[in-house]
Amino acid sequence: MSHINFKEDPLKHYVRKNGWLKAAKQQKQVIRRRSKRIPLRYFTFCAVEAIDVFMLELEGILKRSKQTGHLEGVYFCERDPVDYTRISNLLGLKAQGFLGKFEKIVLFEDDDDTRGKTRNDGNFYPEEVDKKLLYKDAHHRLREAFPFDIINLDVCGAMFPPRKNIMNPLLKSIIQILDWQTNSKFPINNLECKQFTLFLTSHINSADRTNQKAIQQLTDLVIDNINTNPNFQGAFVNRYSHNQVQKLVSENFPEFICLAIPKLMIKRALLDFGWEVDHGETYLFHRDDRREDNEKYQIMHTTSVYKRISDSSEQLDAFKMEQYFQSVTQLVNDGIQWIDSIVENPNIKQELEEDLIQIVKFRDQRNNL
Amino acid sequence: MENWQEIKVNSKILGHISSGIYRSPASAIKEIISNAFDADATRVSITTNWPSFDVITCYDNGSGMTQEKFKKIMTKEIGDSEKRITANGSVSDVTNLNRPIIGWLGIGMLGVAQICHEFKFISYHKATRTAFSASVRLADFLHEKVSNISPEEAAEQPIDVGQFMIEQIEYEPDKAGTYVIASEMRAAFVNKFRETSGEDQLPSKFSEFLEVIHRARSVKSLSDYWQMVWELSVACPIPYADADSFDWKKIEVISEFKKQIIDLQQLLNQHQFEVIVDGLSLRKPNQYPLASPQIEKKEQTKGKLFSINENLTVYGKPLELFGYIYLQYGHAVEPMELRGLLVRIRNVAIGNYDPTLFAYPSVPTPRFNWLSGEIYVGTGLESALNIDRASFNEMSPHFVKLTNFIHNLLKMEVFPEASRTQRKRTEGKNEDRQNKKLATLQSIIRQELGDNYTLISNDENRFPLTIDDNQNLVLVNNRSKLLYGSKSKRELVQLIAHAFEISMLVPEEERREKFYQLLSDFTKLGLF
Repeated sequence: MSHINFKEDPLKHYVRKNGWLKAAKQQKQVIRRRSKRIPLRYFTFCAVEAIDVFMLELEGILKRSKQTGHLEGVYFCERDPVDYTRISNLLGLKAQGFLGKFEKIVLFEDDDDTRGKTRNDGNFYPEEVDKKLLYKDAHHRLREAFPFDIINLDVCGAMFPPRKNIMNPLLKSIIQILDWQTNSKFPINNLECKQFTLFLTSHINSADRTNQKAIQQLTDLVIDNINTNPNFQGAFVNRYSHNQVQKLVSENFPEFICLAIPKLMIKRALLDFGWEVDHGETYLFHRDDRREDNEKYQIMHTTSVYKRISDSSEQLDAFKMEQYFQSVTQLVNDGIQWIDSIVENPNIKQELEEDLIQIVKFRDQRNNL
Repeated sequence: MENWQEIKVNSKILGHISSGIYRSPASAIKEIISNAFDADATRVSITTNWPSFDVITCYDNGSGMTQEKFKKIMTKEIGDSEKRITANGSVSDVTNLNRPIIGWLGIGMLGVAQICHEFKFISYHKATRTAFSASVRLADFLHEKVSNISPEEAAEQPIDVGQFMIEQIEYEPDKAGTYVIASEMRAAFVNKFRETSGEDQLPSKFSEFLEVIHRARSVKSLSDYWQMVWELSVACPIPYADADSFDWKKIEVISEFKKQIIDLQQLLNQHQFEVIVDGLSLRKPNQYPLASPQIEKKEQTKGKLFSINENLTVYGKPLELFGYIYLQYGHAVEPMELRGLLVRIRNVAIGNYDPTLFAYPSVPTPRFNWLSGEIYVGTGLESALNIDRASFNEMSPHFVKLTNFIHNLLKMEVFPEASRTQRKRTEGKNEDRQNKKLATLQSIIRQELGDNYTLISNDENRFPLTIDDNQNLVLVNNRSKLLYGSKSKRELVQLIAHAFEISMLVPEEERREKFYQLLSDFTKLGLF
């Protein structure tokens, strides 16, 4: 549950308009030849206002069924029961909801209690077991919902919390999602997903409130890339006027994370699952930290397009490494936009606020509110 | 954060828990909706996460509840009604929005607890700007537990049937109202709904929902999910599907009574109370006349409305009844779930339409299916209501009085009118058939004998048909003593006799051919 009023937040809306909407329109183009019976499939952490969903509907990217009038292809996850209820009411019958902790649903694994059992196997299990089977059921439903055309992981939390393993549940879940995207087929046409778009959000705490082992490993990885690939080194130097990764960590930790996390994603997607990643805009902005007076944290939003690499490519590993360096170099070249000052521009701010009002009005009309 | 506390119920409630409070999820949800109505909500939204049915949520934008009130209900007041204390200290049975109080506190929660392991009750109370979240769960194996408690034991002190835990949360004005969220649904419920739901998603317009119901002709042929939505639409204090649920051009009614019915329907609109299930805004599904689509294609269905407007007394206490019995002329009311009589106490349906017409003392005949009635009870019947709020104590003097009154109305007015209509329809049908037969015969005789012959009925003639060449007459006797047996058999023999007599007019060698040709013609013309 967030303390931000997303109905009135121009910073977040700047990301929606300039990052998400632009990328969603491109993704819509990609699926234009697909059967009309498979609407654009969108997975989101849309939060209680569901602004992203109604923005995409208003822009004609998400559609309603002509037969029933319900919004189609939308799946959402929410852990707060009250927010879940409000989102369900806004999105209607066909939006599939998952109430609970995303990581717990995605990473469910059978134990001795649940192995070989399901909630519909005709047996009645003790409450303890039945509750576990509920998560198993949600896990299977989510698994079966894949693949998606757009996955909006607008998660509320940092990617590397200090007291967890580097490979924490959130990161494991994202990797699991890549696996499911890779190994699922669309309903009806039974075809693989060739291209999808991923929006990834992460809170960035200060370096001392981030997992130190993770910082070290990510630093080593960037250093290794600089030493291995001249193009990447060139781009890095061009942007920061030096090639000292440690210096970047200490002087501009948010930008370091904005490089390191997408780089990690690009690598795993490419090497483990065969997706070439075309990295789009990265946006950064500040938020006040409610827990600490006068403290701020940052929010990172990235958009990336994942394209499946054909298995028949010759010298696949070499090809993948080449692709990897192209992608990470592009990431540095395209840069990272700090949008706080952009949004402070009165004209831009007003435009964003008016756009938000229009979306909220559209949403409320849709729901007779 | 507090610890788990026990949910206490008295002996009256206990007995009903042991027999299972609710017949269907709709009954439990209906109670939650009633509580929302009492909290002056203008909108209640229910979501089911169709087709997974793993999370059921219910949100109302009413006044909310305080933590103290909730605690009191769960430990002392389950089954009480939410009477208001007014500014001058008197007890009021209407809400701040002047709605009649209809719910029983905590009963809906017990009902919801029966379909899930645990649920959340979260309320943001507008007046005090406070909020709390409570987890509620009924005891495992509750049925066994309460069955082992003796009536004496239960009478002495309240019995705990489950637990609840309250957590205070921050008040947020945007969220004002009450949320009931069941995310740990029991497998039996989920599976039952999933098995039958298939792809039958609800439409977003209620008129489209009704179209499907009418095509199906019976709600029972649809999924549990649709049945639940139907039950809620019948039960809740919401407006009717159309501004006017009667097509008055096709209904006989006294004008004064018509005005009263229209006023009643407008009263429901005035409550400004909307119930939405998965995006579908519900309405009362009554629309009259309405017979099966096949019947509607053939003819225009009509009906008559009988008024119920009585102020009775039972042992000096009032029993106020208002409502109607709709008699559809000669055709069953569709869908079949609207056949019978429905009691509404303070606008809320008690159970479903009763097709036995409160056990009307006669063998059910097709005319039972021609009836649909709603009886709005103002005061006097609540004491007869069982705790499940879906049935009555049939021995209650008030219910007996209601039953006697309705049976008398059926016996003295409704069924005699039904019989008259039936008779008229039968007579009309017979006359039509007879005329058709004579016209056909006339045309055949003209064809065989020429235009000079006239066909007349003559009961004195011995034979069913006699051709008088002298006077150029064809004498037809439908009551010839040569015809025996049932009416249909007599008619059959009569037609064969007609074919025989006419074939006798042609030369002998053509006679057999003519006889069979006439029988064939009669068949083609539908006379057999």
